[in-house]
Amino acid sequence: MGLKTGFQRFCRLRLGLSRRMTQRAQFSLGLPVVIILVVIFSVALVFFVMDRLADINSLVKEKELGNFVTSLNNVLEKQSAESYDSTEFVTLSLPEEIGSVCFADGSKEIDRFAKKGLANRVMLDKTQNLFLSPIEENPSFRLDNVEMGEVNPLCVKTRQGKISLKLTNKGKSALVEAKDVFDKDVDCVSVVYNGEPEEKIDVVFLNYGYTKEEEFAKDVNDYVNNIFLNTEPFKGKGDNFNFFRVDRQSSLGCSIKGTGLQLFIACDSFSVKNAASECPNDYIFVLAERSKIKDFVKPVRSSAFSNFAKINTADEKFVLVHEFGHIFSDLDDEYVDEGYYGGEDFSDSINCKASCEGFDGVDGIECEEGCSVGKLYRSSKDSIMRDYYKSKEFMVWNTKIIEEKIGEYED
Amino acid sequence: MKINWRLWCFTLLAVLLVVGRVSTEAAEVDDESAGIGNEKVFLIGLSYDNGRIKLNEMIAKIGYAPDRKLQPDEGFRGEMVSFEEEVLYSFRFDVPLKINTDVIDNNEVSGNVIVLNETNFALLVPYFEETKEINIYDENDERVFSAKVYKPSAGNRRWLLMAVIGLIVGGVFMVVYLGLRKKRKK
Repeated sequence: MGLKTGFQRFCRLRLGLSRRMTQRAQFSLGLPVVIILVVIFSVALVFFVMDRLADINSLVKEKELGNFVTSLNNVLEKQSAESYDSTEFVTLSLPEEIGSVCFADGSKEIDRFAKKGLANRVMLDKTQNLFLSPIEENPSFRLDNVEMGEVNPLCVKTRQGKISLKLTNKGKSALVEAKDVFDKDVDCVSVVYNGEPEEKIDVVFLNYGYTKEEEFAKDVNDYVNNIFLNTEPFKGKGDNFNFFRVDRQSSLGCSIKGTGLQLFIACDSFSVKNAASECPNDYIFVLAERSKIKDFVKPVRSSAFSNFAKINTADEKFVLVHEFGHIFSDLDDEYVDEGYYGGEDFSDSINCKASCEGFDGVDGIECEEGCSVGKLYRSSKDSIMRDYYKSKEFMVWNTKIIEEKIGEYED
Repeated sequence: MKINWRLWCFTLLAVLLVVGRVSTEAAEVDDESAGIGNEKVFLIGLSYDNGRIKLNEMIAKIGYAPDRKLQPDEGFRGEMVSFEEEVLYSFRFDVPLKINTDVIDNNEVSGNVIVLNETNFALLVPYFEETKEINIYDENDERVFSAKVYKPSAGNRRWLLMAVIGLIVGGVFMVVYLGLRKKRKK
């Protein structure tokens, strides 16, 4: 039996066509069957066309990527042959869906927070040194004559399907850098790293209202090194903390809320957590850039909510540790404002007690009346939780509370 | 209307061939992405209103979730359950119903606490491929929220898209055909 005859028989059996019909090789169909056939045919046609188009797109992208890598290899080779320290700026085109180009040296230590998924990919493709973002969707390549500076990996953003690089001759190879410092593409910057995120308290800084990345970086360094890690008990227990920052500007849904003189910064939780997820994020600070003059005219409060705090940068810098006291240890304010605290239940308060006996067992307590409300007692005359303008210390009781919390991480 | 039976057979075979090819591709893509070993998280946006919790939006993305080494002793409990009804991940959390606000006014700190009855909040939790649903229980261990996790693969989405386009094209063909038939009858 020939192939054609077998096929006809198969169709006859499968489709249940009558012998008479198949003998005539045609049959009459009603309108519903015609509709079904047309729809099936259309779906098949669309499948086929879309499939072919996807293949063509994939081939075009592959070709473009191949051209990009060849061109990059050529310019690197050319620059390597130039005189020492000579510089060349190059702009190369590549497929538009490539978000950034990353150069990574698998033989050296890689900053695994810089680009999500890259460190794992480098481990898999150890011989490769050129990676394209989205990392998980693109192939990796090997470049010759390339040298990277201290930053490993170096990721450079593409703009409208183009990438601009600065190449500097370093003997037999060319040092590659982003032409424009703002083209550097980093998901998460490690500011202070003391160990594995799951073993440390990870604090991440996000930016709101900053127009210059370097100003945000400077402020984060100042808050971390001169305020946070310079205040006990964080100073003595600093190696329990990791600090990160997300330079990329994302919409955090922040706005000024409240009325009259009770204005405060509020941000959208979902957006904040989304941006913070770029880095390890047990606790989150949003630094809201605000000019001191504007803030003098219209003062805006810093605020703490959930595991994140919004810091008005025009405020006294120790507000950062005050807010951390709220979000990390659930410490209450120790200043008194009856009007504001009228409805709040303080029965579970850790630092505002109904009597001085609440602080028993700890030396150095100065039991004073007034803690959020007039009828409660605080453990010291002044502390960061009472007045971070005058006092730069948490004092004995609050220090103990914070140390206990940090201790839970050490366990 | 008369149609050649060969055309029908060819159409069915074409459908089978294309479908087979698309399914294989989808499986390959999934394997590739899994091999890289990225950390993935679920970001769950919720709203709380006087004890009731409602889902606003949920996404899965590459990123980090808090390690939650410090959890409240009591409060709400979230858990992720697998298709085999196994609890993959469980954690306690407080619904944030308090905003502390602080400012220096005339060289003195002042501020207030805003106590909320309703709020929007978000949770970042680790991603597990086999997650079937995410449940939230209140302080009394009563389930107040449950969301099924539906993760359409790229292949499924492509299937759906093509089927919809196919139906639209088929519909257009039919309209044109019926129109022409009507015209011919007249």
